[in-house]
Amino acid sequence: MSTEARVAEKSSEQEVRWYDTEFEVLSGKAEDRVEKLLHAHRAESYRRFIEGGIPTSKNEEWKYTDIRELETRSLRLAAENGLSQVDEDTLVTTSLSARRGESAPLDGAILLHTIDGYLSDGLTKIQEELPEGIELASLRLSQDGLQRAFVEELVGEYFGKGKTEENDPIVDLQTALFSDVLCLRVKKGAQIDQPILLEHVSTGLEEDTVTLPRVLCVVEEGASCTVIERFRSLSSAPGCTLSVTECFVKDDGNLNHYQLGEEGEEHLRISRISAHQGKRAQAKMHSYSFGGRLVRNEVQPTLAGEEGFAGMYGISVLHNQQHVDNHTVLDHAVPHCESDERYKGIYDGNSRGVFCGTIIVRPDAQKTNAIQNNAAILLSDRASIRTKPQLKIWADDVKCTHGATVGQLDENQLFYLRSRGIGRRAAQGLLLRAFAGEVTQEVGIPGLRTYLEERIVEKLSL
Amino acid sequence: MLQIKELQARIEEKEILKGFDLDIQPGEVHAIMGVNGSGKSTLANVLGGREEYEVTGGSVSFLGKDLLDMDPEERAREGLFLAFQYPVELPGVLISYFLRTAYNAKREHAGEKPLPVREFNALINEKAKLLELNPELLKRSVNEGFSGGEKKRNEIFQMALLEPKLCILDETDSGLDIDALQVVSHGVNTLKKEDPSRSFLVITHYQRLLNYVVPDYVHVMIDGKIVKSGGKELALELEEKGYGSFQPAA
Repeated sequence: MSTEARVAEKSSEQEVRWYDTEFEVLSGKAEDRVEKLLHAHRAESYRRFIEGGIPTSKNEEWKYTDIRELETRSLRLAAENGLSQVDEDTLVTTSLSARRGESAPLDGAILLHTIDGYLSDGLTKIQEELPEGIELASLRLSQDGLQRAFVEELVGEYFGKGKTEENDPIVDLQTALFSDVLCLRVKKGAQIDQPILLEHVSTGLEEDTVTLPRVLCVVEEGASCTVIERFRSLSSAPGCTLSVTECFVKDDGNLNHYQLGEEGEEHLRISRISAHQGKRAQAKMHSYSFGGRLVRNEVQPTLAGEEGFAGMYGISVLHNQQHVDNHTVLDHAVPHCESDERYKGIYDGNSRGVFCGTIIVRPDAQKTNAIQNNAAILLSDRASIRTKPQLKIWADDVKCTHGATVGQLDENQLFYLRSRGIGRRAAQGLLLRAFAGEVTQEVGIPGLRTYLEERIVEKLSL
Repeated sequence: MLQIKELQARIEEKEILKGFDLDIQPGEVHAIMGVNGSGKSTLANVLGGREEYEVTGGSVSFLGKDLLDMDPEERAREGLFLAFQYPVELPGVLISYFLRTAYNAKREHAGEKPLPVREFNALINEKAKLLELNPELLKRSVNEGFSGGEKKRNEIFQMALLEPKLCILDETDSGLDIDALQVVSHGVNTLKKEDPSRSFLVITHYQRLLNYVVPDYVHVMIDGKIVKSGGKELALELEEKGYGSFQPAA
């Protein structure tokens, strides 16, 4: 049955959903080879998506995070007009590469913005000043020439290849509807010391809009780089962000990826980061959640080359009604790899945390060494955390450990600090920073680490 | 310095302090001796401001202010220091950062500006030398993995840094070998010499510590109150006769 026929059939049964309408609008846009290639992906993803629709809590992977509102709300895709209405110079001054007091969290970063999911024109200027060994281009901004050829090459080779074997309805939905993608490649052997900072800005110019940032990141053999994706909102409008970042780290490559959720507290965001790793490739993926109403960080590394290392580190600091779900799937596909996973949460008010960590060890993946740890501190008796480790181990000579703890701040420790003259709130801040320390110590950029530590304390008004 | 009158306190439903009186003047060293369960540690905890203990009667005046009305942090900033019987481990909290936060909280309370990091580091190195504390310890998390002796030494070190007016030592001698005991006592005596108006309340089960930290007054505590007071010779008498001779009639 053709897609169009399915849509028609669906609409006769029930009302047409927002995504059906948006998909139809996008279908007519395939012009050149890249667009045609992407459209094939879109059509295929859309076809898969509408078979199941938005997952409900009956889907085991979505048991604790209810996103049915994506089905029922009258949403629409954010228009491109945010690009002309937002002044990029103003954005720069509030970015992480701007100075705060004496220094910037990310001094000298290569700064890029997506505005409602579209790469902003600032990219054009940055392209002229890029360090040796790095290529950057966007689908929307590259109309022809070398950049278009680069986008075509990356899309052709890598697009949609980052997913694990199971299809995910939200990734399918994102793929069906996105319209811009940032392509990034670090060439063989290049060591890029400047962090690449990608600030995803939701303008909220209109309510109930969906933004769909998409990134394709290739770190070639022996190359290394740091990518920071920061999500933020310019208004308190209840928007949605569905983002997909596919990373490929080739043999001996090294990637540090950060996602920082600092969007408005009415925002819904689901982000998928995948990393496909070659031999001896190292990837560390960090997820920090401060903002948002309903957030899901999905991190999915695949260790596909021997002696690779995957690190996953996350901190959630929540209050009020916030809900954050850290959902990881780590795939040990080959022998002799190591992984280290540490997630910590601090929950105040009525907030809810979810941690679901799957570790797959394939039959071939002997001598795997995997560590998973999840710890939570509940600051209020109305806050909650659900933790679900899932170990699927098919190899027999492996070392896998996992642990989860939930607790409160220790009154003895608090009293000890207070008895030395440190006020109650400052003492709480000190203990929570220490609690987060096992995760924040993995942040390799001192300015960024300080920023994140301060955000933890600031968020809880300590 | 410190006036305790008719102090009564309980934890959960259990009455522990049953009308405790004590008067400490500037520069005096008082020792409180008693068996386990006599209420010695409850006294230290109530004076420190631990919230699990409920004060049901009496008053405590510290430098003319109502001590019981203050939060634990206020008491510390006003000049009271409680050396813990069991110092708490704070994994991930670096000693240097912890000390600087405490030190500057006190300065702020006194209307002074925080001490810059470099000057503060010079100060703690100086104090560490004074107390023969291994400077390597300063790079570690507070009390984490410390031996019993190191923990107690760290308590005295904090005391030296925060320059309190009244120091309460809650069974600081428990679990110390003779060498550690001497180091800790040396620290206390150094602080005493440094400021002759500084007062000490030494809570202990044994007379041993009092050979090194010589008290002006010794009080015997039984069942939540003082049953006998005297000079330093009272400690020796206790050591000889035991607490039995002081047991009040049932």
